[in-house]
Amino acid sequence: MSPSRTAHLPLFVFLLMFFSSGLLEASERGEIRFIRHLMEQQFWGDALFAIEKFENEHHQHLERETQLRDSLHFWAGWSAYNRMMLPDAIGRFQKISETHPGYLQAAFYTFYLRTYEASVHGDQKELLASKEELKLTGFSREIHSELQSFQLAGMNLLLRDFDGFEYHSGAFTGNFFAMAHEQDHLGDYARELKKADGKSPFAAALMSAAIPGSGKIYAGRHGAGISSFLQVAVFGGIFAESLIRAGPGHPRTWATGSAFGLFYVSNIWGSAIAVRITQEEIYEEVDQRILFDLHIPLRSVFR
Amino acid sequence: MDEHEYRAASVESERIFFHSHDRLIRMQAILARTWALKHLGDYNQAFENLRRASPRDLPPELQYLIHHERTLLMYLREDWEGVLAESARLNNLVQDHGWRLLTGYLPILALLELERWDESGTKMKAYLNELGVPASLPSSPPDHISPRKAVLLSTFIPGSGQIYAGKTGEGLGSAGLQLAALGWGAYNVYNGFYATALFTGGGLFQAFYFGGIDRAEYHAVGRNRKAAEDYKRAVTEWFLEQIEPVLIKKRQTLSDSPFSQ
Repeated sequence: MSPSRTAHLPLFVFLLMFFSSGLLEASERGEIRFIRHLMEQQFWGDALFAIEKFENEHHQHLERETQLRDSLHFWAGWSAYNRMMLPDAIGRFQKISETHPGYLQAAFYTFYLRTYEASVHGDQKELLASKEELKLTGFSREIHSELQSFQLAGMNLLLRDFDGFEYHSGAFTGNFFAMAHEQDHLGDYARELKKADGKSPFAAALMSAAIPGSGKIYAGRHGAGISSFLQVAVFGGIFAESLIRAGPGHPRTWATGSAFGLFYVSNIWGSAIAVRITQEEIYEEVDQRILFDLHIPLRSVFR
Repeated sequence: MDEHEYRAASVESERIFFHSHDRLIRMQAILARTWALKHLGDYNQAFENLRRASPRDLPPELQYLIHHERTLLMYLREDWEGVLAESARLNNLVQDHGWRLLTGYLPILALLELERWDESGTKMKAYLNELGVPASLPSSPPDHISPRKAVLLSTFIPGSGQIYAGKTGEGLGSAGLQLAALGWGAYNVYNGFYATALFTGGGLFQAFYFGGIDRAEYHAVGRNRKAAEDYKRAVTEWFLEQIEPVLIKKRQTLSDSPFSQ
């Protein structure tokens, strides 16, 4: 190789490196624009696929590019959330670093999704852990602190911790339209839950022993209460008729008396169970409404 | 191809759509993505995707394919009325009779699903004739029994409504139980136990009587539904068996088949 050619070699290598890195960045940018297009079109399945492919192909590069890596986690989390792949969404959102612009949104969605998953699967431990973590998180903007109090109040209701609910709902300022309605709703739910919580199966049993069916009415099942009363009354009437006309020693009296006794006792037992069942139904319904209301402000605040 | 490959095909088709400025290529990309999503079983997304395609001013084979896929996806989404409307649109817009035949089975199947038996039967025979398949329908449409008649029968002759609906055992059982309940009531009245007669004999009788009427209607409706579903399934399977080999051959032999583009 002639000296003049070797002199140009470093320049050639530099230019090659410069243009090749430029080309790589251009292709990356094109791919990111494409992923954003998939997200805008709400093609969540395709977006997830494209993001994972991009991450696999640019693994080393992403180790250095924190911002881009976080954005990919955010988009993947959002796509997974929209496809109802909630554990995947939680996993993605949790990987986003605090410096990323979408961090706060991801953090609040993580807490909400963990709460949702824990509530649906009856995992009190996870619900408690999620609440404690949210409690320890600090937010600088007032709207985020308000949202934190709102979420914590809701989590306490799901945990049936009414003191915790009072504490966090006491911090509501009511200054933010994005969650004002839902804050009021939480107060209604707390009252509903307390009312359901205060009913005693023992009291229901006692009431039904005194007046058949009244325990079921106390439990909130008015139709069942009236029906039970009529059933016991009918069997009581038949038993009384047998007693009067056939006498106490007659097999007919024994049979109708047994039937009456069976209905009377089962009505007492049923009233105690009715309190528990009604409570469970109210809890389930109110929990669904709490989860729904916890979700709405997230959509409004992080529009 | 597995699910992963179809998903990759969907993404790559969308990538072509996104990067290309050529309308023809973009429409082809939409079609390709529709096929991928269809194979993924996501008919709603496939249909929504295809809504982005405008057949206007496209080559005839692409116009045909867009209408064909729309019709097919409507069928897969069980939008039977939509299938009829879209296939009528296809017949108006697509001139080539051979191509129209390739989609012609879908409105017939939709008519079958809509339980328009006579219309579907007539069109099925005509379609098979056009394809040159010598065949006659495997069975005649199901007989429809009247739920109202079943209710009336059980109201005046206990158990007869269930028997009319094909549940002879239940009908006889219901009549026997009603008779027994009445007998028990009468026996108690005879012995002076009026409360027992009213609440046990009368109570049981009314439960069996009104329950019998409800059951007669339930069985009549259920029998009609089952007969219709059985007929639809049998005729659809038979029809597809008849036409499938012919349509595959036709797709390959049509010199300008849009499926070969």
